[in-house]
Amino acid sequence: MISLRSLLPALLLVGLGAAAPSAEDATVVQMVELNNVEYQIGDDLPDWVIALDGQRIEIAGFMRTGTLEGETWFDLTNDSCGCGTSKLQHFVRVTLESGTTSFTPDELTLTGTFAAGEQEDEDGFVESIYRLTITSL
Amino acid sequence: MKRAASRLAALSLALLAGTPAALPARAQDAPPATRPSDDQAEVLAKVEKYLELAKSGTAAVRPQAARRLAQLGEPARARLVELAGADGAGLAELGPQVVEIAADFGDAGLRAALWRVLADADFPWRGSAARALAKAPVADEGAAFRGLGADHLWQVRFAALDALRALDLRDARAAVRALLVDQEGAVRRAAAALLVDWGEPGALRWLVEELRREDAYFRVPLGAQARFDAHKRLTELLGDDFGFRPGESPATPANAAALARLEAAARERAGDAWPSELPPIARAAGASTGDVLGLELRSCRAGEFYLRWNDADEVHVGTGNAAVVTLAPGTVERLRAGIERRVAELGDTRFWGEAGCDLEQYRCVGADGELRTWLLSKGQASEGDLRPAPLDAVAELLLLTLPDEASADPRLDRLRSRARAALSVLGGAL
Repeated sequence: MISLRSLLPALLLVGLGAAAPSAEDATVVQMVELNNVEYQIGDDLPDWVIALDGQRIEIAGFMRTGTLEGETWFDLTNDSCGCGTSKLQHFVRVTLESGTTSFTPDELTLTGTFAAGEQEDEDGFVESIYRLTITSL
Repeated sequence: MKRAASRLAALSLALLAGTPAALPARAQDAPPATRPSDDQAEVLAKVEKYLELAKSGTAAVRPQAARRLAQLGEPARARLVELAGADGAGLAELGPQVVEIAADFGDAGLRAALWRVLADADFPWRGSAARALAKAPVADEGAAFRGLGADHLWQVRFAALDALRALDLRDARAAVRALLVDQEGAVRRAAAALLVDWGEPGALRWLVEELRREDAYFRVPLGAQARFDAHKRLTELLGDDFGFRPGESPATPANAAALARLEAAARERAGDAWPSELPPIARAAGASTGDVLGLELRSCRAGEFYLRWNDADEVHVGTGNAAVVTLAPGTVERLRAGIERRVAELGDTRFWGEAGCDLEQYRCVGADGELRTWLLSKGQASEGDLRPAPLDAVAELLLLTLPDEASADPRLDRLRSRARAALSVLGGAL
C-alpha cells in the first residue's frame, strides 16, 4: 500500500514542474534549476528542493576544475570553469561510496541519493547545501 | 596611526608563531605593555586564518571566509593595507575573494589601490576589483565607472552598470544604451533593467526576448541561464511572471501562453516606446544543432571566446544569437578528421594545468557521435607553456578557419588575431 506521505515529494515535483521521473525510477533534476534557487546562508530552501531530500535523482553536470585526484568527493557544477564567485547553490557535493576521483572535463550524468540543507565544517562554514551520494564513478 | 597598527599586527603574528628567534629585534625588546592582549591575539590569528581560507579554502568556503574577514574590521583592514602595498600589487596574491571585499573597510588607500589594479590589464582579478568598487561607489567616481562600460571584460562592464545604478547617474543613459548590444547577454539584461528603472520601458523588450532563448554551448545551457535571469528581472519590474517557468522550454504550450501574457503586459507598459525590432545580437537563438567542434577560451585578462564549428560548414562566434562565418563546403569534416588524428596522440590525458581563472577548452564530436573535451586551466602559479604539442596543432587548425579582417561586428573583428593572442595568454604561444 502506498502512503500519501511517500507520494508527497513526487506530487510536489510534478506540481512545480522542476523535475521529471527518468526511465530508471530516478527523478531527473536539472542543474540549472538548482543553480537558480534564490538562497543566502540561513534561508529556507524551496519546497521542491526539500521534497528531493532523500530521493533518488539523476543529474548532469561537470566536475569543477581543481577536483583533487584520489578523493572520495568532488563538486558537480554547470560548467567546469572555476571562475568567479562561487555560490552554494552553484554546485552539488558528490560523495562516492566506493572508488576515488579522477578528473574528467566531460559532462557526467550521475544517479544517486540527494540530500538538501546546510552542512557545515568544523569552523561553521557552510560547505554545501546540495549533496549527492553515488555508488561510484 | 595606520603604520602603528600594522606594526602591532606584525608583532602579534610573530608572537603567535611562537618562534622568538624569528622576531625582529625591536619586537623582542618591546615592553610587555605593547603586546596585544589575548583577545587581540585571537583576532589577529583569525585575520590570518580567514586570509588563508579566502585564498585556499574550498570554493564554497572562500567567499564566506572573505566575508568573515571583512567583519573583523580594523585589524583586518590594517593587515590588508600592509599586504596590498601602496600600489596594490600585493592584492594579486590574496586572490579574488579578498579583492572582492577590499573596499568594504571604507579605507581610502585600499580603494585607490583597487582603482590602480583595475587599470592594470595584467592584474588577474579585474572583475573582482570592479565588483568591489561598484558595491558602494563614491560620487566622484561616476566618470570612471562610465568609462568601465567599454572595458574588454564583461564582468567589469557588468560591475560598471551596478555602480551607475547605485549612483543613479542618469546622465550616463547613452553609455548604458550602448550596452544593449553588448556581446554578453548578462550585460545586455542588466543594461535593459537599469534603463527600465530610469524611465525607458521600451528596454523591457530586451528582457522579454531573453525568455525565448534556447541556445546552448554544447552541453552548457546558456539559453536557460539567460531565461532565469530575465525571468527574475521581469518579475521584479512587472510584479508578476504570468506563470512563465524559466527551467522549461519557452515553446511548451503552457510557457508559450505565459510568455504571450507577459509580453502583452510589457508592451502595455512600454506603449509607444516598444521597439519595432531588436538588433540582431539581442535576438533569441533557438536550439543549436550539428555542432561538432568547439573552442572555448576564457581569460580574466584577454576576455572570452565561444567558437563552434558545425556540420553545415559554419563557425558560430559568441553566445546567444551568434555571428556566423560560412566556410567552404567540406571544411569542417576535414577539420574534424585532422583534429581526431591529433588528439589521438594525447591518449587518455584530458586535462593540463591547475584550477584557475583562465582556461581553454577543446570539444570534438567524434565519428562515433560522442562528445569529448580537452581542458587546459591556468592557475595563478602556472608558468610556461601548458599546451601539449598535439593541441598546439589543433589550435592552429581551428585558427586557420577564422576570419582576420576588420569588421563592424566586434565578435568578428580581427577574430583570428584576437583568438591567437588569447591562446598565447592562456596555454602559451603557438
